[in-house]
Formats: sequence, structure tokens, C-alpha cells
Amino acid sequence: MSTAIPLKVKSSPKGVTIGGGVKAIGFEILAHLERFLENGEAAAIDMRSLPMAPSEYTELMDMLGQGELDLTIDMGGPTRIRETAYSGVWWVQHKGSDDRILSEYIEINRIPDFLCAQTDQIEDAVRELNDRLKGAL
Amino acid sequence: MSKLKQGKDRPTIGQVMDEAGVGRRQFMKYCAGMTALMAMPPMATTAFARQLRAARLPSVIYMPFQECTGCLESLTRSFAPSLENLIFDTVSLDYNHTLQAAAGVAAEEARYQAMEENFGEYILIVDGAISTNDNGIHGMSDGHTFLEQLYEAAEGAAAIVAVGVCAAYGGVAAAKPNPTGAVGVADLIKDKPIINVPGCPPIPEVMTGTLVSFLASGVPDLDRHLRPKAFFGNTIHDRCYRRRFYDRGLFAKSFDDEGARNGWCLYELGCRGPTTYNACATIKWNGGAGWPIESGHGCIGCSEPGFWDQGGFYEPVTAKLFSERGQSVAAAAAGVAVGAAAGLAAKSRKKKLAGETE
Repeated sequence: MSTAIPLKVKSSPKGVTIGGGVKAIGFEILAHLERFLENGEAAAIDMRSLPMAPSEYTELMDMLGQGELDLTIDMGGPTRIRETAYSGVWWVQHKGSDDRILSEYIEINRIPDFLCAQTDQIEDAVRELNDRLKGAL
Repeated sequence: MSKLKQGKDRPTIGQVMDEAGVGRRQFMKYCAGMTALMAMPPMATTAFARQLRAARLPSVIYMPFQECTGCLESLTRSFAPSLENLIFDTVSLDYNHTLQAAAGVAAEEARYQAMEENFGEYILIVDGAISTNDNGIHGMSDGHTFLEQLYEAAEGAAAIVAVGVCAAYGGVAAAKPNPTGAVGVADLIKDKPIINVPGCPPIPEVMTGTLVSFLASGVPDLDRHLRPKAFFGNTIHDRCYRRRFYDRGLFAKSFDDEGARNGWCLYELGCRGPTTYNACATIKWNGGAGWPIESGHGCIGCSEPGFWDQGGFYEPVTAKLFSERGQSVAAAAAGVAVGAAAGLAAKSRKKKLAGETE
């Protein structure tokens, strides 16, 4: 029995019929998720490189469901980051200012890389905050 | 862009982005689009962004030769990134006589100035084939043959990007009987890195993606026809959503039959998908709105060498092969097997056709 606090799932994937093509992507996601759990190796699957019919796209989305988080960030066009019903599996969609999709991928990670602060940025922040505090003194 | 510093004083793309107030995540978003276009793993975006930020703003000289302006029309309809972004934020487009405001002598002076100040460092984009018959007099501008202009501009180029099937392999201009002796850039220039971005026209995102890829990490991996593998690594057929019908032997027999209405494979209607390497099936056209096969028409193979002389567009891709062996076109169509055997046969045919065009 898992001791994890369950994710509050808004859209459950249970009961969704899974076609062959979608199931194959599902197994790829599963393999990445297992690897992430094992050694922390993040991965992503580019949605635009998959030759999917519109119905399969919807089917995949239904299969993954909707978890607790659904963020929209306005940055040169909307970016939508959705947590799926499976923890660690994120659906990321970047759109341009003209509302066209620039990129779309499923990321297997603790949190999407796009949101994480980078080390060099944090180094800059340490320096700047330090300078600011010293100046204030 | 004339205010930008030239030569080694050119700013980095990171500096340009910082000045324009582009934040890290917005830049990352742009890079995520680019890495997706180039079929790089999405997790490579951070490294790609770092490389691209460090790259110096390049000088670009765009030379049009025997062309129809279709490639430029396509390039100006790029969505990700837009040409405006590419020109004003990434690239210093120092010469393009179709787009620039200057004309005549002033335009040519701008080109010579850019070539001199950025000698050895500029990117030369060539659009259109180059006439070679009669010393190249069939294609001239400003009193010079295209042949002379190409050799002159190539001398100081860091790399040459041949956009469109004409600049890459001669294309439409080189179609039989090729009265002007039209050839592609790689037939003439042998001592510079050449990247071919063929198509009639090429997909705009493939053109801009190739340029940005070059800025970030130099000449990308190329196939034997000098095309970036990131965009030309798979056949149309490999990535086609109708492939499942091919594998099941379900073919449209005419453009208005039940098979066509059901979206079955267009192989027997002349689709060149099995022998054509391009990214139409994944990047698509018009900002991802659609692509020819999705519209119900087979691929015409416009990114392959000698595409204009590969037989009729509405004959099965095997027709040329079989008719050369003295068999009828009908026999060729009837001889199409299905499933794995057909896949192997298609590969074999592809090799033969590719061999013929070399």
C-alpha cells in the first residue's frame, strides 16, 4: 500500500479506451517514468514529431488525464503547463503571440525544466542580493 | 540593421535579446520551438539556448539567381521564429535585393561593404540555380553573370546555405533539356561548407531552423545530398499518418473514389512519399495548418535531386522504374505488394532512383 498523498485528479483516465498508437506512446512514457524514478533522468516526448490523427491526440490527452495543476503563463503568447493524472508526467504547450503552437511535448520530470531557475541565474542572484544587502548596510 | 557593429565587434545574440528585453523563459520558449523543429530531444533546449545566446550576430548575404521568388515568399511566411524576429533579433540581413529598400548601385555597394567587413564570417544564402552554359550569360544582373557573382560571394563566406531545390540541385531550372546548363551551388563550389535546404519551396521553418542551428552549433549533420538530417532524416512515407493504410494495402485509386474519401494511401496516385526526404509530415505548412497529403494530394518529391524529371506526378513512383525495364505502367501499379515486403521494395526502389539522379 502506497504511503504517498494521492494527487487530486480532476480528470480521471480510468475507463478511457486506448488505441494501439496511443498505447505505444503510453509505454514510452511509462519507461521514462520508471527510469526517472530509478536514476532521476528527465525526458521529454515531442508531440509534433508524432504522426497522430486528431482523434489519437485527444485519446492520448484523455488517457493521461488531468492532475492538480493547470498553469497558463503569458510570455510572448500563452504557455500552458498541465500536470497529468500521473505524477511526474507533464503536458507542456508553448504558443506564439499569434496563438499558433510553437512546441508541444510531454515532459517526465519532477517539475518542467522550463519553470526551473538555472544555476547561472542563481549565481547572479546571490551576487546581486549580496551587493544589495551590503549596500543597504 | 546598418547601425549594428560589423565584423568581430558584432554583438552576441544574447546581448541583442537582453537589449530587447527578452527574458530567460521567453528565450527558452523560443529555443524549445527550435529544438522541436530540429527533432532534437526537448531536454536539449537548455544547452541549445546557452549556445545560441553565445553566438555572434551573423551577417547574411542573400543572393537570388535563377529563381521564381517562391522560396523567399515561403521564408517570409515563417512562423517559428518569424522572419521579423530572425532579421531584427538574430540575423543582420545585409543584402537581399528583393527585400531591401536600397536599389541599384546603392544595393550592390551594401553587399560589397558587408562582404568586406565580414570577410570569412558571413553566411551566404543562395536562392536559385546558376546557369553555366555559354559562360553563364543566361543569368545576369548588374552586368555580371550569376556564375561570377556566386564565385565572388562564396570566397568570403563562412558557409553557404542553398535554399530551394534549384539552388541545391538545379531544380526546375535544370529540368530536361536544361537549356541554360543550370546547376546547384554544390556543383560549383567545392571548398566551403554547403548546407542544402531543398524544396519547391522549402518549409519556412526548415530554412530558419537551419540558420539558427548553424548559429548555435555550426554546420549540422548532413545526409549524402547535403541536407540537414534533423529535417531530412525521414521519408515523408515514414512519418505519414496514411502509412497505416499503405501497410494494410488500402490505396485510393482515383482522387474522388471511396478510398480517397476515407483517407487511404495515395501511393498509386503518384505519391512520392516513399522516396522523398522532408519534414512536411511533421512540421507541416502554414504554421502547422496542413500539408499536401492531408489535403488529399500525393507528395511530388520536390526536395529530391532531379525531382522535375522523375516521370509524371500522377504515376506510381515505381512506374519509371518498370517502364525502363520494358514493362507497362499498369504492371508496375499491379506489382505493388503490401506490408513489410512493400516497405522493403520501396527502399530498394528508392536506392535505385537515388542512384539514377546522382
